[in-house]
Amino acid sequence: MDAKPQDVTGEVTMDVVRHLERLAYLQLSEVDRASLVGDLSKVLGYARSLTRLDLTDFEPQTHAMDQANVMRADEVQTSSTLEQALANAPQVASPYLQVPRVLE
Amino acid sequence: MTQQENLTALELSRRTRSGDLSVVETTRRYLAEVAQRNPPLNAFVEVWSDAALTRAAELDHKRAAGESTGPLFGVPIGLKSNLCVTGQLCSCASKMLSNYRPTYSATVCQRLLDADAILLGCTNMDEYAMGSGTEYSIYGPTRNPHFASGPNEVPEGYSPGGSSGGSAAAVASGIVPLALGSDTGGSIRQPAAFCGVYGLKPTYGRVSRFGLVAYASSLDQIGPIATTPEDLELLFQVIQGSDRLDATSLSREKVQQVEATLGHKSLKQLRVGIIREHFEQDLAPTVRRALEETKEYLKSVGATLVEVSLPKQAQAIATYYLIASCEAASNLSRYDGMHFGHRAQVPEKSATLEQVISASRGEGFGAEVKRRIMLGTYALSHGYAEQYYQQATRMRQAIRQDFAAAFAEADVLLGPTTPAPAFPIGAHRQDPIAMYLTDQFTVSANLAGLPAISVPIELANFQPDESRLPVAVQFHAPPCGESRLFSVANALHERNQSAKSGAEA
Repeated sequence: MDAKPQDVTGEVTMDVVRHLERLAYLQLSEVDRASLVGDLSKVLGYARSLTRLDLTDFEPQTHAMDQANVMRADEVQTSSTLEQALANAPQVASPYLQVPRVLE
Repeated sequence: MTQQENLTALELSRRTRSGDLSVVETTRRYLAEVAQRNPPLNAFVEVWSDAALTRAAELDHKRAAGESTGPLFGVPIGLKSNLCVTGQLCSCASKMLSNYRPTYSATVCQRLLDADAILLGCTNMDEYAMGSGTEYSIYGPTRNPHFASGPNEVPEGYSPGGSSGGSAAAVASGIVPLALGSDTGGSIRQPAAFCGVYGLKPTYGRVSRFGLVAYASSLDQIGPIATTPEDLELLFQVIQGSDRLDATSLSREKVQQVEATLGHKSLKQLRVGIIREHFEQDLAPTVRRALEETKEYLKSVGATLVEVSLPKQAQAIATYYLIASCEAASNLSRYDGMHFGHRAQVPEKSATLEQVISASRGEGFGAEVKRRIMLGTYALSHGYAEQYYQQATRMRQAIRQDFAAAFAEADVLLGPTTPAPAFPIGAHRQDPIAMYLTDQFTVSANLAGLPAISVPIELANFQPDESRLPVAVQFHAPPCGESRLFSVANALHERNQSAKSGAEA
């Protein structure tokens, strides 16, 4: 997932926004795009002081608590029924989810 | 004014359990309260009258039959709209989930039912819990019940804070005695502060997140909102505890082991750390006075005050927004308009799967959610992940170590919950960073996984033209140190009660 490596200043351009839009599967309106160019530049500008610090002494911390290998017994449990699994689907051709054509 | 208006959850459950009050009648009265008081506030987005009354009848029957009764017997509770209850609306205040009715219940909701509570309905919030004002909602903003307390007339009213603003407003207005919120960066504590009620973010892992719609999984915690510390603790005790459905929930053994290490401290033995970096910030005069009065009071009851430093606090907001947005971009990738949620109507023949997914997400998500997905996607993308996401996770480690050092010198840490009282609705609409900064004192507890509480403070006096909007202070404790937070809050609650009766005299 490349987001324009040449954009080294952290300046978010319209091209960057269009690229992110594709990466995130998120269709935007022209108005959305224009405001995101400004908003993302502002937020990343705000974060810039963080990016310039030397933090190599600190191990990355991705979770709040140190827990590893949480195990539980491998027991059979009841889970959703077919009806429940389909209950909130936008389009159903029972017993299947209906989706747009994927193959020609 | 109704009979139950001033009843706490504890008093109410005592009276319903003794048979002094019937649960059906009590529930009817609460439903009437919602109908009457909710419209100007917009705190509830859906009221579950039928389910509540059916449940109430079952509870009355259960008591009459002499069966054992739970700790929340007959107590009505408001749930933030990101908590799943089988068959009930769970919209996250988003167009994406505007018709979503889960087929299972969150562990916390099941525990409420097991404790004989009445689930009264779901409350307004910022879309997907992303916001600090309960403004980014498909239902429109919630209003702070203290609307008449501000320094100036504001056309739309004051914000209740967010993202659990509906829950905080519902409790503060007396519509319900208890509500649940979720707190990813302050979303329980900041609205509790703005509305003048108690709010707790528990230690990460003490409350199961199963059935909470995920925003940023390493930061999210569900927690209680109440009008007294006793009620807050009552609700916390019901919802906390390990859960096989949430692998990040802490085991009972682990919690007991850490609690034993912390030991019990009376107020006289308590060392209260004054967070230098929080006191040095630009604070509203009433917030600063609340802190000073709290310090004075704690000294007067025998606690020791010590200054502590959290040197990396200036980086907390940037760290939080990067980590939260990265996790949000990942978590929200599940909304594809195929399995559940909104699907855009795109002319079938010409549309590819990718186009339908993109259009569905574009239509389903609001502006702030889009902003965070885009920020997270940027910060995780190749060439930037090292510079942004990984740097933020290193800073998270540094912030956690700062807290560990502070807790070597103090048992709890005192600072403000927010820099200022509630802002007028819409005040930060054009400036996301200004909105983010209202959370500058709350995000660190989430980054470090610590429990933290917001305690409302009744000020002794006001200047003539001064805002009378509620103000609050915040206490942090070490992991699993919730009992320390409850004991400090109980002491300050007594102080508040005497300050209130002094002001009325």
